[in-house]
Amino acid sequence: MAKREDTWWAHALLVGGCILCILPLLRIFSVSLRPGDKLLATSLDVIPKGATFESYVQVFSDTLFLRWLVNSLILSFLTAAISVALSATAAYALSRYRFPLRKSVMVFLLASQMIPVVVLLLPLYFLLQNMHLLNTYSGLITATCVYTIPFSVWILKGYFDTIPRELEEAGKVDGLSDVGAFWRIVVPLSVPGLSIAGLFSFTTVWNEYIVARVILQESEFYTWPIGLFELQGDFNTRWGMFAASSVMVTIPVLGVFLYSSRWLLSGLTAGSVKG
Amino acid sequence: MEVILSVLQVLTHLFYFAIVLFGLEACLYWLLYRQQNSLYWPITAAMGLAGGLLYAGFFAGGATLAAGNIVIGVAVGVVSSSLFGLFCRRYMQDKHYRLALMFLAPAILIVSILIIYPFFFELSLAFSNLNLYTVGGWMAGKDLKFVGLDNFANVFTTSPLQTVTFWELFIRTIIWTVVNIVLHVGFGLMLALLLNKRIPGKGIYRTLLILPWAMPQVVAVLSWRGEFHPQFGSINAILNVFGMDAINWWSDPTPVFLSCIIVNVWLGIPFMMIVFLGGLQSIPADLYEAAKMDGASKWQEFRFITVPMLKPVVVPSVVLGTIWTFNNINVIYLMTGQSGGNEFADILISALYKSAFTYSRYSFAAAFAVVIFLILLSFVVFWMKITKGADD
Amino acid sequence: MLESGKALPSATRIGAAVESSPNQPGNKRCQRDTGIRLCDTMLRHRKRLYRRNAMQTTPSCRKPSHRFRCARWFAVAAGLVGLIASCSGQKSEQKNGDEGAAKSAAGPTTTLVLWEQDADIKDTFAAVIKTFETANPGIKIKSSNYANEDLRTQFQTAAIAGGGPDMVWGPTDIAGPFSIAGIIQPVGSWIKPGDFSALALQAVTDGSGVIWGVPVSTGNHLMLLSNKKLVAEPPKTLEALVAVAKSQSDPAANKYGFAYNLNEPFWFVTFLGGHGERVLSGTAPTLSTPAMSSALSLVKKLKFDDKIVPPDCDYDCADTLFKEGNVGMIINGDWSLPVYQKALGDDLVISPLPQIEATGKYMSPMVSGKCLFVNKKVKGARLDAVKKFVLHMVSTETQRQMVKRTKRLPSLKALQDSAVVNADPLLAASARALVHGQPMPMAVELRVVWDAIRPQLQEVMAGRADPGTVGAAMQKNAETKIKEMKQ
Repeated sequence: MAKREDTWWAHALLVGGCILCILPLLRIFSVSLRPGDKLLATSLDVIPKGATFESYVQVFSDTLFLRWLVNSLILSFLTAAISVALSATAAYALSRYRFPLRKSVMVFLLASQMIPVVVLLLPLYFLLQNMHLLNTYSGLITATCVYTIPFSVWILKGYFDTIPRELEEAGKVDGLSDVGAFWRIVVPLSVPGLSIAGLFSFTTVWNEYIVARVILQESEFYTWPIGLFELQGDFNTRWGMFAASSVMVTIPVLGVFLYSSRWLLSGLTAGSVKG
Repeated sequence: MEVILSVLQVLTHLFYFAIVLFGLEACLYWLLYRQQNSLYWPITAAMGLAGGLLYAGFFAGGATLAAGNIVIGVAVGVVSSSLFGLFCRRYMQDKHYRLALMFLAPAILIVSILIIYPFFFELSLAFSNLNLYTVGGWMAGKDLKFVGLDNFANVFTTSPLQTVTFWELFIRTIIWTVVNIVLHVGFGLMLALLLNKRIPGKGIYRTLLILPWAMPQVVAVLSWRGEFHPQFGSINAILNVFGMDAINWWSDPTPVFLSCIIVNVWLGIPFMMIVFLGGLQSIPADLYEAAKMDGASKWQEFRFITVPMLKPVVVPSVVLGTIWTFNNINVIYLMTGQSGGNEFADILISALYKSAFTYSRYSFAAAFAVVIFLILLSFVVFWMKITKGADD
Repeated sequence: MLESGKALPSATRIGAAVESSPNQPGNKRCQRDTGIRLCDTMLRHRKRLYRRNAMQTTPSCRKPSHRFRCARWFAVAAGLVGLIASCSGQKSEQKNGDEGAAKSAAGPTTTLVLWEQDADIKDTFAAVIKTFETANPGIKIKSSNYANEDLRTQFQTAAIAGGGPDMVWGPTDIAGPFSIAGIIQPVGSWIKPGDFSALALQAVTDGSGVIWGVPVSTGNHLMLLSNKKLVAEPPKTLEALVAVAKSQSDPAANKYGFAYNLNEPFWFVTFLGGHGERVLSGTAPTLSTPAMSSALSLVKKLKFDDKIVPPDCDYDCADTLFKEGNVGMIINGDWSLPVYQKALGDDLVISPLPQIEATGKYMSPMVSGKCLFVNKKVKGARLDAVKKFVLHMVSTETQRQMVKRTKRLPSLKALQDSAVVNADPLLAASARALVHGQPMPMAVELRVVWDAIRPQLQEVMAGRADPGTVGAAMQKNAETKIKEMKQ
């Protein structure tokens, strides 16, 4: 029976952290319940006077919110899957094989993150237009993979480095090919790393606005960030609906996190040891 | 009904992806592994031909399919594939090199296509004079003037906004990055260590602490902006309760910057926490037990076991976190009131965005971006030399 | 510790190999650093992983016939998916329609693409489009919504790349940058300028008389809004306003009688107009004037001396206070009228901005509106379709409908003082507030002027700068920025 290590100060710190994390969400929740689109309020109530769920209803009836959510979900899962798959193979090559230009490749991947994306919008538009990828899912997936792959490669390389090579060598003794060694040995052992990379890609695409705005041009294809900004007028923002959709958008992400946390944080002691 | 169409479209795109991937790997396989085949050169040339045709017909011309385009495309395709074939024969004899190439190719290809062309485009823009007034002529086919290093000189000497100078922005950016990263890593590590213990309610804590990362960033930042409102925000209300004066978070220079830092730290901690948590979980408990048997104190345990074993996981996160924080435009832009806001908290990237995009100064923006890129590149190269981060 | 169960030849072979060769580098490290227990764990894990492999003699895909079997299945699957995909691909291609390429419409249906920025009037817009489509069966309109700034930047990017929509519906001030960049085409040749009100047309006409857009509504102007419950009769002069507000203000209790967006130049120019000055003369900024100093001193006085405005009021602050009924008077624009009508009902009173007794002039809001722009690349039959749509949007009947439903003032001269406007007290009051307005210049330099005024205004309002001297700084900054823009 493992000894419980709880101390009061650990709990105090954690509770303090949680309160700080929840505060803005509570604020948004109260804005969503407030009638009349008031962003600020003279009172600090969480449940405001005259609270109503009207904003939530309006979000579904006035906008294509459900469609945007579905678009975002599909795109995020797809990008996460593709990005993790491509990054895992690349990270494996970088981790296991010593070839010339190895360091340059890694620096190149980092360097691709250094150019501010806002500046690249014009040539990106040209490029995607010529590749006929505008206003398509492929275009958005490709463009976002550019931003998720470098981080995934680096973090997965770190995880792969902690898996001893003896395991793969033993597998090859058994008759596995190189690819087989990768697929059957290394991948199952690095599930936590893969989930972190997957979660990161998922969140990046889920919250992506700038690049999505350039690529997607028709209402049916919009992801939720683009749709959300439809609610922001020149001066008049429909804060109630804005807040309501924000609350609803947080829920799927939390769901994905909760579901993937079992891969993230269990069974790591077996095998991923720096031998 | 729409959903079915969506799903079908998604399948279509997946199919295209798979085809492209398969094609790429097949080409590479042929080039690397079938070098002894007698048809090596013809098929390599055929691949080049196909690639060139594809490029000329599908990508570069579209409707205006000029014969010149096709010929150039085909010629370039055949020549480059033959050269690549030669290269493979000469240098790619090692089995490991071949495998590495086949593994790396898809990822590197995607990243390069969407980065290399835009980067060189921007580089060329930085040396010319594309702005609102010249863009009309440029669209009509007129060439842009070559202005040498003028744009770069402007970046360093003129103010991108009203009064703030490049050096002020630079120093502010450095402070912003350093403070953010230190606090992210510090608090993230602390929370990860706390969550790594065996305490009840760990799951709930973990879920709640993830919220800043899970919430849409824009909404979170706008909500925090409301909290910092000098009259109606809760921050000043809390300060009043403790008997302190209300701080003008929206109009005074230092509080504006401070509020941006606070918000960005709040946003970034969960991510670091998760990365550290994953790293901590991979450290076997036996090491700690062995250390305890040897009589190590908690601090020694931390210093000699935890920190070294976290290094492979921490280093990439810190490096990438630095780059992202340096180029983080969202928080500052939204916290200072978007395009109509003040310039007290601007860092390099937000000043670039505000100045260049409001007035469509494309060349100036390109030069500014190249400067930012060089700053970051030198930092990363320097860092990697110091920590030998790529060596493990 | 060890896996019980079937005999696993390879697994035990590995196990034996590992345990019996202390000279294996991994083994030595394993035993030395991490203890026996951990090696056992690793061993267990390896066996679990290799169980599947160990059951066969060779991995399946290694045998040549097996390899082809794998490939065959892949080919079949790919073919099936491809079949489905190509069918749906064609369907979605048709759905996407033409992105607005420069060729004229082929086939009987032309789909015009429109980008708009007006989510507020979505329903009315959709209704009007439907009317048009029913009347013109060969033309379909596809509209996409873009947020504020995005409309400008995205349209510019797309148009420069040769793509983009056929039409853009947005505020008149985007005519400036678009006309200079050469991405929209002048419309003067096919609209009747005489049909439109002077204020509406001036907002889209540049210095040389070229008309760049078709105004569909006029307004976007600021006015004085008051709450009948708190302020019985809206004041007609600024001094009267100050008196009324003072009687309702109690700074210590955080109560104020008047609120507006303090630091935003769009609001500030009304005060400047009340001192008889404009910010632009043609394309040259005129910011370093005595009127500027007086106007700045005036707004500073309202905040610091009279204390009738909340110290840090921005748009949302004024908006919230007014909706909650906590402030009697605010300055806001015609876009907010429907919202306030819903919140305050009959208590809402609209009046023109007051007169400044000291100068004898009325505070003067900038008047612009929304208009339709046509992408430069639209030609031929497509342009004819666009013209049909645009003329439909500014026809008397459509304008009447839109005025009624969106509560925005019409751009047609004939409808300015008409029944449809006068029948609605809201609209009539809004029209009255237009009288002393100044047309918003189309020049791209206006943006520069806003950005030059804003930080200095903020400094004055924060008490850190002197109203008398900042005018020169504003002027210098504006001129520098205009020069830089052309570099």
